[in-house]
Amino acid sequence: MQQSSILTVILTGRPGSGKGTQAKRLAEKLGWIHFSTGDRFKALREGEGPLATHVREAYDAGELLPDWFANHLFEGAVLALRPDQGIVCDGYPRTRAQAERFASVMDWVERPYIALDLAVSEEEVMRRMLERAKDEDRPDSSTEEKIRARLAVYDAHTAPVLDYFREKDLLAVLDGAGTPEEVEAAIHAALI
Amino acid sequence: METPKTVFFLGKPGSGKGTQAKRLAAKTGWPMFGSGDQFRAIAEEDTPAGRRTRLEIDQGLLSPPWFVEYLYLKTLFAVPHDQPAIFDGFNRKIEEANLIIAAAEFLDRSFVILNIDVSNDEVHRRLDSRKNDSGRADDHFVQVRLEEYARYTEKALEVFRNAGACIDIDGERSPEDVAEDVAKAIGLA
Repeated sequence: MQQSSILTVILTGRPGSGKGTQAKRLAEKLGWIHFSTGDRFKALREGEGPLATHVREAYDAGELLPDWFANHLFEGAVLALRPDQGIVCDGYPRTRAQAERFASVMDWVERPYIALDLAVSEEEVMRRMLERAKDEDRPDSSTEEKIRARLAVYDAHTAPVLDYFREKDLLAVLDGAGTPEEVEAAIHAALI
Repeated sequence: METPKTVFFLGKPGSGKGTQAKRLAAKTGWPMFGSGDQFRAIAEEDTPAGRRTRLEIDQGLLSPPWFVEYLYLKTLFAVPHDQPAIFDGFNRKIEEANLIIAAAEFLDRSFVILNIDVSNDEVHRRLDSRKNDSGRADDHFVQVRLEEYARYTEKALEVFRNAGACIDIDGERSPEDVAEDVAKAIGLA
């Protein structure tokens, strides 16, 4: 596979867009770090002490963890990278403040980056998530109504982040409706 | 009073806060983390961040605000929950003050800011005599540091004060007398 010139990627997409799967594949294929705030928080809440307690409470209440904490986790991951090592961010940056911070950090460590948004229609998200809810126990996406609510929350939070990178001309929107292999090919093409 | 888990020192240049932080560390055996030391340690690392920090130190450039916050959290998260610790620095701007308060709540770690209070006149007097002794700190440099203090640190102090986390200590006395007040302020004397 051709070595990509961009070694830092933000992968965004609605719930059900397949961004988690794609982030994992990208990291595996290119030997990159998969920075997933969801995974980090899940790991942290299993620990002991006040930090784990706090993360557990926030996570279980469905609250977002504070910007400063998400930023810190991300900065730790970036500062541990070798210059030739890539990173794909999944679930970060999630707010406008996090996006601004992300940009400052990238300027400082001199890493070019791009945000890739996997676009999927509401109908497609609905179809995929209802399918998934049959196999997995996902009470938050068992009905159309619940899925619509999740999408509304996601869109409201993420729109400012997408706008931020669009204004910088660092956002590419990819068609996320294809097969996982097609989407994967589109992601790799966007990095060259 | 119950001894706080994290003790911060704050004060103008020449206030003696560094000396007091060291004295308290020697008296208690608690680890002490100075922001300057943490920066110098990072600058020794053979990493992109280390090289960038070294460049900034050599050229007298300021590190970005987020990096100061990153270093503070990295240091704080490495301190075991039951271990008291002393910090000198990391608390000179409003953003840093807000972060200290948020992180303390998050980690359920009590903290206090000991404000070693000295007048500007006293700062000039002390630094003039220091200059005569050792050739440190020229007048311009002192003036710049005092202006920075007025512009940023006084506002950070207000944030701490509003959070009920600040104790003022009269710094215009002998180091021994100040140290005694420091110990009293945190319930050690």
